Amino acid sequence: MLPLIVLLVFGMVFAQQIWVVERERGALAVIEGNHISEIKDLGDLNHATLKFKNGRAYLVSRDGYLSLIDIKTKKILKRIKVGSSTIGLTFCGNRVAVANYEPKTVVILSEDLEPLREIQTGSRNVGIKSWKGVLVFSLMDRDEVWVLTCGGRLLKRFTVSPMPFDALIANGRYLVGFFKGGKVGLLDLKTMSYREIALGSGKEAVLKVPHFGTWAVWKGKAYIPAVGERKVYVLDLVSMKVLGSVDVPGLPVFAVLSPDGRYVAVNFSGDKEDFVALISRKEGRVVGSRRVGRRVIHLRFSPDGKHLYLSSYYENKVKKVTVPDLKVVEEIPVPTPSGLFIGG
Amino acid sequence: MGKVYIVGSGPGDPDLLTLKAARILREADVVLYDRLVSNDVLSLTKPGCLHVYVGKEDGKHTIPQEEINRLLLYYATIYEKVVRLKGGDPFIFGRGGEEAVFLAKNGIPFEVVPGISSFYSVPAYAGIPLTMRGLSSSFAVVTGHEAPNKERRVNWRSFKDVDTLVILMGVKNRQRIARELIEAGRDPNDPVAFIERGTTEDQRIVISTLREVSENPPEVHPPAVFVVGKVVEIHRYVRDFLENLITLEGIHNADT
Repeated sequence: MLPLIVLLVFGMVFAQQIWVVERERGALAVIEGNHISEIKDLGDLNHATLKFKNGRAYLVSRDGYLSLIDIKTKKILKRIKVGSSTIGLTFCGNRVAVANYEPKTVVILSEDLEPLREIQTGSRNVGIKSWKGVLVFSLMDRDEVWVLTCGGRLLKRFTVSPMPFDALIANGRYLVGFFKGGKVGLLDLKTMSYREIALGSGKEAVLKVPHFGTWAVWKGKAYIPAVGERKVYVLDLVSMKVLGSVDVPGLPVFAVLSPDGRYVAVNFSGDKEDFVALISRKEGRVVGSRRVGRRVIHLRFSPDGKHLYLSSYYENKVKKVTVPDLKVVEEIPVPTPSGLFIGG
Repeated sequence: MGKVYIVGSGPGDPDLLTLKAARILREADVVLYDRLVSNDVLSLTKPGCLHVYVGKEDGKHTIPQEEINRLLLYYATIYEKVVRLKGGDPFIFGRGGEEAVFLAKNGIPFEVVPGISSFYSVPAYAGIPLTMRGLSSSFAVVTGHEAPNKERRVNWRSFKDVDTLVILMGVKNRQRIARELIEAGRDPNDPVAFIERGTTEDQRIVISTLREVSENPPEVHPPAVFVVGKVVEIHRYVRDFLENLITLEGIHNADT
Protein backbone atom coordinates (compact mmCIF):
# COMPACT_ATOMS: atom_id res chain seq x y z
CA MET A 1 0.00 0.00 0.00
CA LEU A 2 2.83 2.37 0.87
CA PRO A 3 4.28 2.71 -2.64
CA LEU A 4 0.86 3.67 -3.99
CA ILE A 5 0.41 6.38 -1.36
CA VAL A 6 3.87 7.77 -2.03
CA LEU A 7 3.15 7.79 -5.74
CA LEU A 8 -0.14 9.63 -5.26
CA VAL A 9 1.35 12.18 -2.91
CA PHE A 10 4.21 12.66 -5.26
CA GLY A 11 1.85 13.16 -8.16
CA MET A 12 0.12 15.89 -6.24
CA VAL A 13 3.14 17.81 -5.07
CA PHE A 14 5.39 17.82 -8.13
CA ALA A 15 2.73 19.54 -10.15
CA GLN A 16 5.23 21.68 -12.04
CA GLN A 17 7.41 20.40 -14.76
CA ILE A 18 10.94 20.48 -13.34
CA TRP A 19 13.89 20.14 -15.66
CA VAL A 20 17.02 18.94 -13.91
CA VAL A 21 20.51 18.96 -15.37
CA GLU A 22 22.27 15.68 -14.65
CA ARG A 23 25.60 17.31 -15.10
CA GLU A 24 27.73 14.21 -14.71
CA ARG A 25 25.62 12.16 -17.11
CA GLY A 26 25.18 14.64 -19.93
CA ALA A 27 21.43 14.25 -19.55
CA LEU A 28 18.30 16.10 -18.47
CA ALA A 29 15.71 14.65 -16.14
CA VAL A 30 12.19 15.99 -16.55
CA ILE A 31 9.95 15.56 -13.53
CA GLU A 32 6.30 15.94 -14.32
CA GLY A 33 3.61 14.78 -11.96
CA ASN A 34 4.60 11.28 -10.95
CA HIS A 35 6.65 10.65 -14.03
CA ILE A 36 10.32 11.19 -14.74
CA SER A 37 11.77 11.16 -18.23
CA GLU A 38 15.42 11.30 -19.04
CA ILE A 39 16.81 12.92 -22.16
CA LYS A 40 20.29 11.64 -22.88
CA ASP A 41 23.27 12.41 -25.13
CA LEU A 42 23.09 16.16 -24.71
CA GLY A 43 26.81 16.80 -24.44
CA ASP A 44 28.80 18.24 -21.57
CA LEU A 45 26.26 19.93 -19.33
CA ASN A 46 28.66 21.79 -17.09
CA HIS A 47 27.63 25.47 -17.46
CA ALA A 48 24.75 24.37 -19.67
CA THR A 49 22.05 26.92 -20.49
CA LEU A 50 18.43 25.80 -20.81
CA LYS A 51 15.66 28.09 -22.02
CA PHE A 52 12.05 27.55 -22.99
CA LYS A 53 10.03 29.08 -25.80
CA ASN A 54 6.82 28.13 -27.59
CA GLY A 55 6.56 24.65 -26.13
CA ARG A 56 10.15 23.83 -26.85
CA ALA A 57 13.32 23.71 -24.79
CA TYR A 58 16.67 24.94 -26.07
CA LEU A 59 19.77 23.59 -24.42
CA VAL A 60 23.34 24.52 -25.19
CA SER A 61 26.12 22.37 -23.78
CA ARG A 62 29.60 23.48 -22.87
CA ASP A 63 31.05 21.49 -25.76
CA GLY A 64 28.92 23.37 -28.25
CA TYR A 65 25.85 21.22 -28.88
CA LEU A 66 22.59 23.09 -29.24
CA SER A 67 19.59 20.81 -28.76
CA LEU A 68 15.95 21.54 -29.48
CA ILE A 69 13.61 19.48 -27.34
CA ASP A 70 9.84 19.11 -27.56
CA ILE A 71 8.54 19.86 -24.08
CA LYS A 72 5.54 17.54 -24.41
CA THR A 73 7.17 14.47 -25.91
CA LYS A 74 10.65 15.09 -24.42
CA LYS A 75 12.08 14.12 -27.78
CA ILE A 76 15.14 15.82 -29.21
CA LEU A 77 13.84 17.42 -32.39
CA LYS A 78 17.22 18.58 -33.56
CA ARG A 79 20.79 18.71 -32.36
CA ILE A 80 23.42 20.87 -33.98
CA LYS A 81 27.04 21.67 -33.19
CA VAL A 82 27.47 25.44 -32.95
CA GLY A 83 30.94 25.62 -31.45
CA SER A 84 33.55 23.66 -29.56
CA SER A 85 33.32 25.67 -26.34
CA THR A 86 30.07 27.52 -25.80
CA ILE A 87 28.93 29.77 -22.98
CA GLY A 88 25.51 31.28 -23.58
CA LEU A 89 22.22 31.27 -25.42
CA THR A 90 19.53 33.89 -25.88
CA PHE A 91 16.36 34.41 -27.88
CA CYS A 92 16.24 37.53 -30.02
CA GLY A 93 13.02 38.17 -31.94
CA ASN A 94 12.41 34.90 -33.73
CA ARG A 95 16.07 33.98 -33.69
CA VAL A 96 18.33 32.06 -31.35
CA ALA A 97 21.83 33.37 -30.72
CA VAL A 98 24.72 31.49 -29.18
CA ALA A 99 28.03 32.87 -27.88
CA ASN A 100 31.18 30.81 -28.22
CA TYR A 101 34.51 30.96 -26.51
CA GLU A 102 35.85 28.74 -29.28
CA PRO A 103 35.71 29.29 -32.21
CA LYS A 104 35.59 33.02 -31.72
CA THR A 105 32.08 33.45 -33.06
CA VAL A 106 28.50 34.29 -32.28
CA VAL A 107 26.05 32.09 -34.18
CA ILE A 108 22.53 33.15 -35.11
CA LEU A 109 19.97 30.48 -35.92
CA SER A 110 16.28 30.25 -36.66
CA GLU A 111 14.00 28.93 -33.94
CA ASP A 112 14.19 25.58 -35.75
CA LEU A 113 17.97 25.69 -35.45
CA GLU A 114 18.75 26.47 -39.07
CA PRO A 115 22.07 28.35 -38.95
CA LEU A 116 21.55 31.79 -40.47
CA ARG A 117 24.69 33.68 -39.68
CA GLU A 118 28.06 33.18 -38.07
CA ILE A 119 29.66 36.38 -36.82
CA GLN A 120 33.44 36.29 -36.54
CA THR A 121 34.30 38.40 -33.52
CA GLY A 122 37.98 37.59 -33.08
CA SER A 123 37.37 37.13 -29.37
CA ARG A 124 36.01 34.81 -26.73
CA ASN A 125 32.40 35.99 -26.39
CA VAL A 126 30.41 36.29 -23.20
CA GLY A 127 27.25 37.80 -21.71
CA ILE A 128 24.94 37.28 -24.68
CA LYS A 129 21.55 38.92 -24.03
CA SER A 130 18.74 40.49 -25.98
CA TRP A 131 16.21 43.23 -25.47
CA LYS A 132 13.51 44.53 -27.79
CA GLY A 133 14.97 43.42 -31.08
CA VAL A 134 18.63 43.94 -30.30
CA LEU A 135 21.31 41.44 -29.50
CA VAL A 136 24.09 42.41 -27.10
CA PHE A 137 27.25 40.57 -26.12
CA SER A 138 30.74 41.29 -24.80
CA LEU A 139 34.06 40.49 -26.39
CA MET A 140 36.48 39.32 -23.74
CA ASP A 141 39.64 39.65 -25.80
CA ARG A 142 38.76 42.88 -27.61
CA ASP A 143 37.38 44.81 -24.64
CA GLU A 144 34.22 45.69 -26.53
CA VAL A 145 30.46 45.35 -26.29
CA TRP A 146 28.61 44.89 -29.56
CA VAL A 147 24.97 45.71 -30.21
CA LEU A 148 23.43 44.03 -33.24
CA THR A 149 20.03 43.51 -34.75
CA CYS A 150 18.61 40.07 -34.09
CA GLY A 151 19.57 39.27 -37.66
CA GLY A 152 23.21 40.09 -36.94
CA ARG A 153 23.67 43.56 -38.43
CA LEU A 154 26.06 45.57 -36.30
CA LEU A 155 24.41 48.66 -34.84
CA LYS A 156 27.02 49.91 -32.44
CA ARG A 157 30.19 48.89 -30.66
CA PHE A 158 31.41 50.23 -27.37
CA THR A 159 34.95 50.13 -26.04
CA VAL A 160 34.94 49.00 -22.44
CA SER A 161 37.44 48.17 -19.70
CA PRO A 162 39.67 45.11 -20.11
CA MET A 163 38.19 41.63 -20.15
CA PRO A 164 34.42 41.84 -19.86
CA PHE A 165 33.42 38.47 -18.41
CA ASP A 166 29.73 38.26 -17.60
CA ALA A 167 26.56 40.30 -18.02
CA LEU A 168 22.96 40.62 -17.05
CA ILE A 169 20.13 42.58 -18.56
CA ALA A 170 17.37 44.27 -16.59
CA ASN A 171 14.84 46.64 -18.11
CA GLY A 172 17.00 47.60 -21.09
CA ARG A 173 20.10 48.08 -18.99
CA TYR A 174 22.96 45.78 -19.95
CA LEU A 175 25.26 45.39 -17.01
CA VAL A 176 28.70 44.01 -17.77
CA GLY A 177 31.19 42.73 -15.22
CA PHE A 178 34.92 42.52 -15.75
CA PHE A 179 37.33 39.75 -15.04
CA LYS A 180 39.45 42.02 -12.92
CA GLY A 181 36.42 43.10 -10.88
CA GLY A 182 36.06 46.43 -9.19
CA LYS A 183 33.64 48.04 -11.57
CA VAL A 184 30.75 47.36 -13.89
CA GLY A 185 29.83 48.77 -17.26
CA LEU A 186 26.31 49.97 -17.76
CA LEU A 187 24.94 50.13 -21.28
CA ASP A 188 21.54 51.76 -21.45
CA LEU A 189 19.99 50.29 -24.57
CA LYS A 190 17.21 52.90 -24.55
CA THR A 191 19.68 55.73 -25.04
CA MET A 192 22.59 53.66 -26.38
CA SER A 193 24.86 55.27 -23.81
CA TYR A 194 27.61 53.56 -21.88
CA ARG A 195 29.37 54.37 -18.64
CA GLU A 196 31.40 52.57 -16.02
CA ILE A 197 30.88 52.70 -12.30
CA ALA A 198 32.95 51.39 -9.42
CA LEU A 199 31.01 48.44 -8.09
CA GLY A 200 29.92 49.01 -4.55
CA SER A 201 31.15 52.57 -4.55
CA GLY A 202 29.94 54.51 -1.58
CA LYS A 203 29.20 52.59 1.51
CA GLU A 204 30.88 49.24 1.24
CA ALA A 205 34.10 47.68 0.09
CA VAL A 206 34.45 46.80 -3.56
CA LEU A 207 32.79 43.49 -4.36
CA LYS A 208 34.75 40.70 -5.97
CA VAL A 209 34.28 39.36 -9.49
CA PRO A 210 30.62 39.44 -10.33
CA HIS A 211 29.13 36.24 -11.66
CA PHE A 212 25.73 37.54 -12.57
CA GLY A 213 24.14 34.13 -12.99
CA THR A 214 24.14 33.81 -9.22
CA TRP A 215 22.40 37.14 -8.54
CA ALA A 216 18.75 37.66 -7.67
CA VAL A 217 17.30 40.87 -9.12
CA TRP A 218 14.16 42.56 -7.80
CA LYS A 219 12.96 45.91 -9.17
CA GLY A 220 16.36 47.43 -9.78
CA LYS A 221 18.00 45.86 -6.75
CA ALA A 222 20.39 42.95 -6.94
CA TYR A 223 21.01 40.44 -4.15
CA ILE A 224 24.58 39.33 -4.62
CA PRO A 225 26.15 36.30 -2.97
CA ALA A 226 29.56 37.64 -1.95
CA VAL A 227 32.36 35.28 -2.94
CA GLY A 228 34.33 34.23 0.11
CA GLU A 229 32.18 36.20 2.58
CA ARG A 230 29.23 35.09 4.67
CA LYS A 231 27.12 37.91 3.30
CA VAL A 232 24.63 38.73 0.58
CA TYR A 233 25.04 42.29 -0.65
CA VAL A 234 22.16 44.43 -1.79
CA LEU A 235 23.10 46.61 -4.73
CA ASP A 236 21.05 49.38 -6.30
CA LEU A 237 21.36 48.76 -10.03
CA VAL A 238 20.65 52.39 -10.89
CA SER A 239 23.15 54.13 -8.65
CA MET A 240 25.37 51.03 -8.35
CA LYS A 241 25.66 51.79 -4.65
CA VAL A 242 25.66 49.04 -2.06
CA LEU A 243 22.54 49.59 0.03
CA GLY A 244 23.54 47.11 2.67
CA SER A 245 24.23 43.48 3.30
CA VAL A 246 22.59 40.51 4.91
CA ASP A 247 24.60 38.13 7.08
CA VAL A 248 24.08 34.51 6.05
CA PRO A 249 25.20 31.35 7.83
CA GLY A 250 27.63 30.10 5.16
CA LEU A 251 29.54 31.02 2.01
CA PRO A 252 26.73 31.82 -0.43
CA VAL A 253 26.67 30.48 -3.99
CA PHE A 254 23.27 31.21 -5.56
CA ALA A 255 20.67 33.78 -4.54
CA VAL A 256 17.24 33.14 -6.05
CA LEU A 257 14.17 35.30 -5.74
CA SER A 258 10.66 34.07 -5.03
CA PRO A 259 8.19 35.02 -7.78
CA ASP A 260 6.34 37.38 -5.43
CA GLY A 261 9.60 39.01 -4.36
CA ARG A 262 9.11 38.20 -0.68
CA TYR A 263 12.09 35.95 -0.22
CA VAL A 264 15.59 35.40 -1.47
CA ALA A 265 16.76 31.80 -1.01
CA VAL A 266 20.47 31.10 -0.75
CA ASN A 267 22.56 27.95 -0.92
CA PHE A 268 26.16 27.58 0.20
CA SER A 269 29.53 26.03 -0.45
CA GLY A 270 31.88 24.71 2.21
CA ASP A 271 30.71 23.97 5.74
CA LYS A 272 27.05 24.84 5.07
CA GLU A 273 26.68 23.10 1.73
CA ASP A 274 23.77 21.03 3.11
CA PHE A 275 21.77 24.12 4.09
CA VAL A 276 19.37 26.56 2.51
CA ALA A 277 18.68 29.95 4.08
CA LEU A 278 15.74 32.19 3.40
CA ILE A 279 16.15 35.96 3.48
CA SER A 280 13.04 38.06 3.96
CA ARG A 281 13.50 40.80 1.41
CA LYS A 282 11.43 43.25 3.43
CA GLU A 283 13.16 42.58 6.72
CA GLY A 284 16.63 42.32 5.19
CA ARG A 285 17.59 39.35 7.36
CA VAL A 286 17.65 35.58 7.36
CA VAL A 287 14.31 34.31 8.63
CA GLY A 288 15.02 30.62 8.28
CA SER A 289 17.87 28.23 7.69
CA ARG A 290 17.75 24.46 7.62
CA ARG A 291 19.72 21.41 6.59
CA VAL A 292 17.68 20.11 3.68
CA GLY A 293 19.97 17.75 1.80
CA ARG A 294 23.56 16.80 1.19
CA ARG A 295 25.39 19.34 -0.94
CA VAL A 296 22.59 21.50 -2.22
CA ILE A 297 23.78 22.58 -5.64
CA HIS A 298 20.90 24.61 -7.00
CA LEU A 299 17.45 25.79 -6.06
CA ARG A 300 14.34 27.37 -7.59
CA PHE A 301 11.03 28.62 -6.28
CA SER A 302 7.81 27.10 -7.54
CA PRO A 303 5.79 29.60 -9.61
CA ASP A 304 3.40 30.22 -6.68
CA GLY A 305 6.34 30.87 -4.33
CA LYS A 306 5.07 28.36 -1.79
CA HIS A 307 7.81 25.82 -2.30
CA LEU A 308 11.45 25.54 -3.21
CA TYR A 309 12.86 22.81 -5.38
CA LEU A 310 16.47 21.91 -4.76
CA SER A 311 19.15 19.54 -6.01
CA SER A 312 20.77 17.41 -3.32
CA TYR A 313 23.82 16.20 -5.19
CA TYR A 314 25.24 13.65 -2.78
CA GLU A 315 21.81 12.14 -2.13
CA ASN A 316 21.00 11.96 -5.84
CA LYS A 317 17.65 13.56 -5.14
CA VAL A 318 15.56 16.55 -6.08
CA LYS A 319 13.59 17.77 -3.08
CA LYS A 320 10.65 20.03 -2.54
CA VAL A 321 10.59 22.12 0.62
CA THR A 322 7.98 24.43 2.03
CA VAL A 323 8.39 28.20 2.21
CA PRO A 324 9.08 29.76 4.67
CA ASP A 325 9.62 26.90 7.12
CA LEU A 326 11.90 24.89 4.81
CA LYS A 327 10.45 21.46 5.58
CA VAL A 328 11.11 18.73 3.06
CA VAL A 329 7.73 17.53 1.85
CA GLU A 330 8.74 15.46 -1.13
CA GLU A 331 11.78 14.04 -2.83
CA ILE A 332 12.49 12.14 -5.98
CA PRO A 333 15.61 10.26 -7.09
CA VAL A 334 17.58 11.95 -9.86
CA PRO A 335 21.22 10.99 -10.44
CA THR A 336 23.82 13.76 -9.93
CA PRO A 337 21.29 16.61 -10.05
CA SER A 338 22.59 20.14 -10.56
CA GLY A 339 20.78 23.02 -12.32
CA LEU A 340 16.99 23.20 -11.94
CA PHE A 341 14.64 24.90 -14.36
CA ILE A 342 10.89 25.29 -14.12
CA GLY A 343 9.42 24.43 -17.49
CA GLY A 344 6.08 23.88 -19.11
CA MET B 1 83.17 8.62 3.67
CA GLY B 2 79.78 7.03 2.97
CA LYS B 3 77.59 7.37 -0.05
CA VAL B 4 74.36 9.29 -0.35
CA TYR B 5 71.41 7.96 -2.34
CA ILE B 6 68.93 10.61 -3.41
CA VAL B 7 65.84 8.44 -3.72
CA GLY B 8 62.34 9.14 -4.98
CA SER B 9 59.67 7.25 -3.05
CA GLY B 10 56.91 7.80 -5.59
CA PRO B 11 53.54 9.51 -5.21
CA GLY B 12 52.09 7.75 -2.17
CA ASP B 13 51.05 4.20 -3.00
CA PRO B 14 53.95 2.15 -1.59
CA ASP B 15 53.57 -0.33 -4.44
CA LEU B 16 54.83 2.39 -6.75
CA LEU B 17 58.27 2.36 -5.16
CA THR B 18 60.91 1.12 -7.61
CA LEU B 19 62.72 -2.17 -6.96
CA LYS B 20 65.99 -0.28 -6.77
CA ALA B 21 64.65 2.16 -4.19
CA ALA B 22 63.33 -0.75 -2.09
CA ARG B 23 66.70 -2.51 -2.21
CA ILE B 24 68.60 0.60 -1.19
CA LEU B 25 66.17 1.33 1.62
CA ARG B 26 66.63 -2.19 3.00
CA GLU B 27 70.40 -1.60 3.11
CA ALA B 28 70.33 1.97 4.45
CA ASP B 29 71.99 2.98 7.72
CA VAL B 30 70.17 6.29 7.94
CA VAL B 31 67.19 7.78 6.07
CA LEU B 32 66.50 11.50 5.93
CA TYR B 33 62.91 11.68 4.78
CA ASP B 34 60.35 14.24 3.69
CA ARG B 35 56.79 14.94 4.75
CA LEU B 36 55.11 13.07 1.91
CA VAL B 37 56.95 9.78 2.45
CA SER B 38 54.65 7.04 3.70
CA ASN B 39 55.28 4.87 6.75
CA ASP B 40 54.91 1.78 4.56
CA VAL B 41 57.97 2.86 2.63
CA LEU B 42 59.97 3.69 5.74
CA SER B 43 59.10 0.32 7.23
CA LEU B 44 61.23 -1.38 4.57
CA THR B 45 64.40 -0.28 6.35
CA LYS B 46 66.44 -2.74 8.42
CA PRO B 47 66.30 -2.81 12.22
CA GLY B 48 68.50 -0.13 13.70
CA CYS B 49 68.26 2.16 10.69
CA LEU B 50 68.05 5.76 11.84
CA HIS B 51 65.01 7.73 10.57
CA VAL B 52 65.46 11.50 10.47
CA TYR B 53 62.48 13.67 9.58
CA VAL B 54 63.45 16.74 7.57
CA GLY B 55 60.05 17.55 6.07
CA LYS B 56 58.81 20.97 5.13
CA GLU B 57 55.28 22.19 4.96
CA ASP B 58 54.13 25.27 3.17
CA GLY B 59 54.70 28.20 5.47
CA LYS B 60 56.24 25.96 8.12
CA HIS B 61 59.82 25.34 7.17
CA THR B 62 60.77 23.09 10.02
CA ILE B 63 64.32 22.58 8.83
CA PRO B 64 65.96 24.98 6.36
CA GLN B 65 67.58 23.50 3.26
CA GLU B 66 71.03 24.52 4.53
CA GLU B 67 70.45 22.44 7.64
CA ILE B 68 69.39 19.43 5.56
CA ASN B 69 72.59 19.81 3.54
CA ARG B 70 74.61 19.99 6.71
CA LEU B 71 72.93 16.83 8.03
CA LEU B 72 73.67 14.99 4.78
CA LEU B 73 77.31 15.92 5.12
CA TYR B 74 77.37 14.88 8.77
CA TYR B 75 75.72 11.49 8.26
CA ALA B 76 77.83 10.75 5.18
CA THR B 77 80.95 11.07 7.31
CA ILE B 78 79.77 8.54 9.90
CA TYR B 79 77.54 6.10 7.99
CA GLU B 80 78.13 4.00 4.90
CA LYS B 81 74.72 4.23 3.24
CA VAL B 82 72.78 7.43 3.65
CA VAL B 83 69.38 7.70 1.95
CA ARG B 84 67.85 11.05 1.21
CA LEU B 85 64.26 9.97 0.64
CA LYS B 86 61.84 12.30 -1.08
CA GLY B 87 58.24 12.10 -2.24
CA GLY B 88 57.70 11.62 -5.98
CA ASP B 89 60.85 12.10 -8.01
CA PRO B 90 63.78 13.88 -6.38
CA PHE B 91 64.66 15.90 -9.47
CA ILE B 92 61.14 17.22 -10.14
CA PHE B 93 60.34 20.09 -7.78
CA GLY B 94 62.09 18.14 -5.05
CA ARG B 95 65.18 20.27 -4.58
CA GLY B 96 67.15 17.11 -5.34
CA GLY B 97 69.17 19.10 -7.85
CA GLU B 98 70.35 21.49 -5.17
CA GLU B 99 71.32 18.64 -2.88
CA ALA B 100 73.21 16.93 -5.72
CA VAL B 101 75.19 20.11 -6.37
CA PHE B 102 75.91 20.45 -2.65
CA LEU B 103 77.14 16.85 -2.40
CA ALA B 104 79.35 17.25 -5.48
CA LYS B 105 80.83 20.47 -4.12
CA ASN B 106 81.70 18.69 -0.91
CA GLY B 107 83.16 15.66 -2.62
CA ILE B 108 80.57 13.22 -1.37
CA PRO B 109 79.78 10.35 -3.75
CA PHE B 110 76.09 10.03 -4.47
CA GLU B 111 73.60 8.26 -6.66
CA VAL B 112 70.18 9.39 -7.85
CA VAL B 113 67.33 6.88 -7.79
CA PRO B 114 64.42 8.37 -9.71
CA GLY B 115 60.93 7.90 -8.36
CA ILE B 116 57.55 7.83 -10.04
CA SER B 117 56.47 11.44 -10.17
CA SER B 118 53.05 12.52 -9.02
CA PHE B 119 52.63 14.71 -12.08
CA TYR B 120 51.63 11.78 -14.29
CA SER B 121 50.93 8.98 -11.82
CA VAL B 122 48.32 10.83 -9.76
CA PRO B 123 46.26 11.86 -12.82
CA ALA B 124 46.64 8.27 -14.07
CA TYR B 125 45.12 6.91 -10.86
CA ALA B 126 42.23 9.31 -11.44
CA GLY B 127 41.76 8.05 -15.00
CA ILE B 128 43.25 11.17 -16.58
CA PRO B 129 45.85 10.60 -19.29
CA LEU B 130 48.14 13.58 -19.94
CA THR B 131 48.21 12.93 -23.66
CA MET B 132 45.55 11.44 -25.85
CA ARG B 133 45.20 11.33 -29.58
CA GLY B 134 42.83 14.03 -30.72
CA LEU B 135 42.67 15.73 -27.32
CA SER B 136 46.15 16.46 -26.12
CA SER B 137 49.49 16.28 -27.86
CA SER B 138 51.43 18.40 -25.39
CA PHE B 139 51.68 18.87 -21.68
CA ALA B 140 53.59 21.03 -19.25
CA VAL B 141 54.33 20.64 -15.57
CA VAL B 142 54.68 23.75 -13.48
CA THR B 143 54.93 24.66 -9.84
CA GLY B 144 52.07 26.62 -8.36
CA HIS B 145 54.16 27.60 -5.39
CA GLU B 146 56.82 30.06 -6.32
CA ALA B 147 59.56 30.81 -3.89
CA PRO B 148 59.22 34.29 -2.39
CA ASN B 149 61.29 37.02 -4.09
CA LYS B 150 62.15 34.65 -6.89
CA GLU B 151 63.55 36.29 -9.97
CA ARG B 152 62.31 33.68 -12.46
CA ARG B 153 58.57 33.89 -12.07
CA VAL B 154 56.22 31.47 -13.81
CA ASN B 155 55.12 32.96 -17.10
CA TRP B 156 51.53 31.71 -17.22
CA ARG B 157 51.06 33.23 -20.65
CA SER B 158 53.46 30.67 -22.07
CA PHE B 159 50.98 27.90 -21.18
CA LYS B 160 48.09 29.31 -23.19
CA ASP B 161 48.40 26.74 -25.96
CA VAL B 162 49.72 23.77 -24.03
CA ASP B 163 47.00 21.13 -24.24
CA THR B 164 47.38 19.74 -20.73
CA LEU B 165 48.77 21.65 -17.82
CA VAL B 166 49.76 19.94 -14.57
CA ILE B 167 50.32 22.23 -11.63
CA LEU B 168 52.03 20.84 -8.58
CA MET B 169 51.80 22.61 -5.23
CA GLY B 170 49.12 24.85 -6.68
CA VAL B 171 46.28 24.43 -4.18
CA LYS B 172 46.89 27.57 -2.18
CA ASN B 173 47.14 29.76 -5.28
CA ARG B 174 44.49 27.93 -7.32
CA GLN B 175 42.23 30.94 -7.81
CA ARG B 176 45.07 33.20 -8.88
CA ILE B 177 46.45 30.54 -11.24
CA ALA B 178 43.04 30.02 -12.86
CA ARG B 179 42.71 33.77 -13.34
CA GLU B 180 46.19 34.03 -14.84
CA LEU B 181 45.38 31.23 -17.29
CA ILE B 182 42.09 32.83 -18.38
CA GLU B 183 43.83 36.17 -18.76
CA ALA B 184 46.48 34.44 -20.83
CA GLY B 185 43.71 33.37 -23.21
CA ARG B 186 42.84 29.84 -22.11
CA ASP B 187 39.25 28.74 -22.48
CA PRO B 188 37.34 29.45 -19.23
CA ASN B 189 35.40 26.24 -19.96
CA ASP B 190 38.61 24.21 -19.70
CA PRO B 191 37.94 21.34 -17.34
CA VAL B 192 39.98 21.18 -14.17
CA ALA B 193 40.69 18.32 -11.80
CA PHE B 194 42.19 18.47 -8.36
CA ILE B 195 43.36 15.10 -7.12
CA GLU B 196 44.01 15.23 -3.39
CA ARG B 197 46.37 12.69 -1.80
CA GLY B 198 46.56 10.89 -5.13
CA THR B 199 47.37 7.16 -5.23
CA THR B 200 46.69 6.82 -1.49
CA GLU B 201 43.57 5.42 0.10
CA ASP B 202 42.51 8.96 0.92
CA GLN B 203 42.50 10.02 -2.72
CA ARG B 204 39.73 12.49 -3.52
CA ILE B 205 38.93 14.04 -6.88
CA VAL B 206 37.27 17.41 -7.41
CA ILE B 207 36.19 18.29 -10.93
CA SER B 208 35.60 21.91 -11.88
CA THR B 209 36.37 24.40 -14.63
CA LEU B 210 38.85 27.24 -14.91
CA ARG B 211 35.97 29.69 -14.74
CA GLU B 212 34.66 28.23 -11.51
CA VAL B 213 38.09 28.07 -9.92
CA SER B 214 38.72 31.68 -10.92
CA GLU B 215 35.47 32.87 -9.35
CA ASN B 216 34.64 30.66 -6.43
CA PRO B 217 37.33 28.05 -5.96
CA PRO B 218 36.29 24.65 -4.64
CA GLU B 219 37.55 23.43 -1.32
CA VAL B 220 40.74 21.46 -1.90
CA HIS B 221 43.40 20.44 0.59
CA PRO B 222 47.06 19.91 -0.19
CA PRO B 223 48.77 17.86 -1.34
CA ALA B 224 46.84 17.85 -4.59
CA VAL B 225 47.72 17.69 -8.27
CA PHE B 226 45.91 20.36 -10.30
CA VAL B 227 45.23 19.35 -13.93
CA VAL B 228 43.85 21.68 -16.61
CA GLY B 229 42.76 20.54 -20.06
CA LYS B 230 40.30 18.50 -22.07
CA VAL B 231 41.87 15.20 -20.96
CA VAL B 232 40.17 15.74 -17.60
CA GLU B 233 36.96 14.68 -19.38
CA ILE B 234 38.37 11.18 -19.85
CA HIS B 235 37.89 10.65 -16.13
CA ARG B 236 34.14 10.79 -16.69
CA TYR B 237 34.24 8.06 -19.32
CA VAL B 238 36.46 5.61 -17.49
CA ARG B 239 35.69 6.05 -13.83
CA ASP B 240 32.95 3.44 -13.58
CA PHE B 241 35.43 0.73 -14.50
CA LEU B 242 38.63 2.23 -13.11
CA GLU B 243 39.67 0.15 -10.14
CA ASN B 244 42.89 1.80 -9.02
CA LEU B 245 41.11 3.18 -6.00
CA ILE B 246 37.60 3.77 -4.82
CA THR B 247 37.59 7.52 -4.62
CA LEU B 248 35.30 9.99 -2.98
CA GLU B 249 34.37 12.45 -5.58
CA GLY B 250 32.94 15.91 -5.73
CA ILE B 251 31.97 18.43 -8.31
CA HIS B 252 32.12 22.06 -7.60
CA ASN B 253 28.85 23.94 -7.32
CA ALA B 254 29.56 27.48 -8.40
CA ASP B 255 27.63 26.90 -11.57
CA THR B 256 24.83 24.70 -12.77
